Amino acid sequence: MLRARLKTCAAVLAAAIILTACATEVKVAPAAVLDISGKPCGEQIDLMSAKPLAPKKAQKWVDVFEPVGAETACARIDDLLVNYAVFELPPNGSNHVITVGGLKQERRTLAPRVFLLDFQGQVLRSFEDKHYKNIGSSFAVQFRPSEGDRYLLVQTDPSRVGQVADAFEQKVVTGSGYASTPTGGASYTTTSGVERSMSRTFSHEGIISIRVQALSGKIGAPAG
Amino acid sequence: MLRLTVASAAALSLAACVTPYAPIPYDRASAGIQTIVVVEDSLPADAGTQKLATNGQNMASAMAASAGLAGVLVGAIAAGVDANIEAGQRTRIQAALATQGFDGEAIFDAALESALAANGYELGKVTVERKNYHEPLELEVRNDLQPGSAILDVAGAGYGYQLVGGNTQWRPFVTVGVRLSDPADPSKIHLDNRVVYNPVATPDVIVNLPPDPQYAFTKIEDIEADPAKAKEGLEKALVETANAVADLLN
Repeated sequence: MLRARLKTCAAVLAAAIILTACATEVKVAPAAVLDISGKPCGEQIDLMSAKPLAPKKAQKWVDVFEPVGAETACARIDDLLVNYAVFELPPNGSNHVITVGGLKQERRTLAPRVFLLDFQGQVLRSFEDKHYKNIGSSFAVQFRPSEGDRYLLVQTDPSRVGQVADAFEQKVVTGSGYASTPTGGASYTTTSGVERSMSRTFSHEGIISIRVQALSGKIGAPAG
Repeated sequence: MLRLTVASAAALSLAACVTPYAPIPYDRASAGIQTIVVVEDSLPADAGTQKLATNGQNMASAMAASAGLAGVLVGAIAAGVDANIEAGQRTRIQAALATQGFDGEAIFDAALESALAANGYELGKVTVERKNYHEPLELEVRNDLQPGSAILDVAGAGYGYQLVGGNTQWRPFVTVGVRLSDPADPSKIHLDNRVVYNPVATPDVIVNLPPDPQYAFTKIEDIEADPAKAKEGLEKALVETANAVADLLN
């Protein structure tokens, strides 16, 4: 009997230890990737890999988050290796606003370099450094495509990779609670402020963030 | 943690239902604009305050939830007390800035005009009566401006010092809306955007500027004790915001 109880206690203890181990597991935010020299890359951008930005269901706006990592596409451009992703713009481009860049993660931001290409992949438009700004939670550019623009190419910028952007941030954090009352209870919301210094390094890997908005009608529709 | 996640998920689903603000980015190459005519009266005369996540707000929410109508009344009183406290704090900050001869609008206008001129624009000014600073002006057709002109309306929704609750400090903030339109056809918008210095949230398509961390004050008394630093912090916020507005036109 005693042995059985000890076995049960040991099992419970082991389960508790495992649970504690799971509960205290700390996820480390991914660090910036500064060097992709060992990665096998093509010699040119593969337009066949372009992903459509227009959603299947007609809608006014859409967010696209595209991870860029060790397994995603890269190319050797002007003798420099860059990671990239290419997207197919919706038709009637000038009726849209596109905000595209590298999403700010905990420790890194994908270093974006944005191009607009025609149907053959020729560069029609690029953006100078001064056009890249802190927009929303990304380091991004914002533009309206022209009618000849067919593809959106986002590649990493080797000249920016490794640079560190320090920023102080104030945020409001929202939580909720539940108060018991004689008639049952009700939930309530509380908010609290936090402030912190952030330091993010521009990286070859990270997340491309894209917001596509139609100025009138739905995405893909002509200007109303 | 679960509650926070649920709250965040609820907030996200709610946000997903709302059509977000859509900016209109400027394309200088195709706009053909050489002269920027700036609307005078871009910012309110006095600096303001912004308090978020205060104890009063939280008390109001909790009281309303826990005790029905009585809670709503007690919560409203808590929020009211909070608002009165903030009004007093705002007056004290304005008084501290006044000792330094602070003029927020003059600082912003000078920085904006300087940056626009540096970007190669000819400048003009126009006076239009403004009912509030939270939305762009409804402009009337003007045919008296030379071709290649556009009217720049900067509406300063707020500037001053903000406190976001918890263990945070008073820090400068500035929020402006920006619209550039065709004088002959004001419905033709060349640019529409917003710039926020020290945002507490970062809406997805709005330009935001991080604050300079050295300008921080734990209490109103600290602002009163060093009004020159308080002025310097807010001046820097206004100049950086004006430069960011000019950058949108570059």
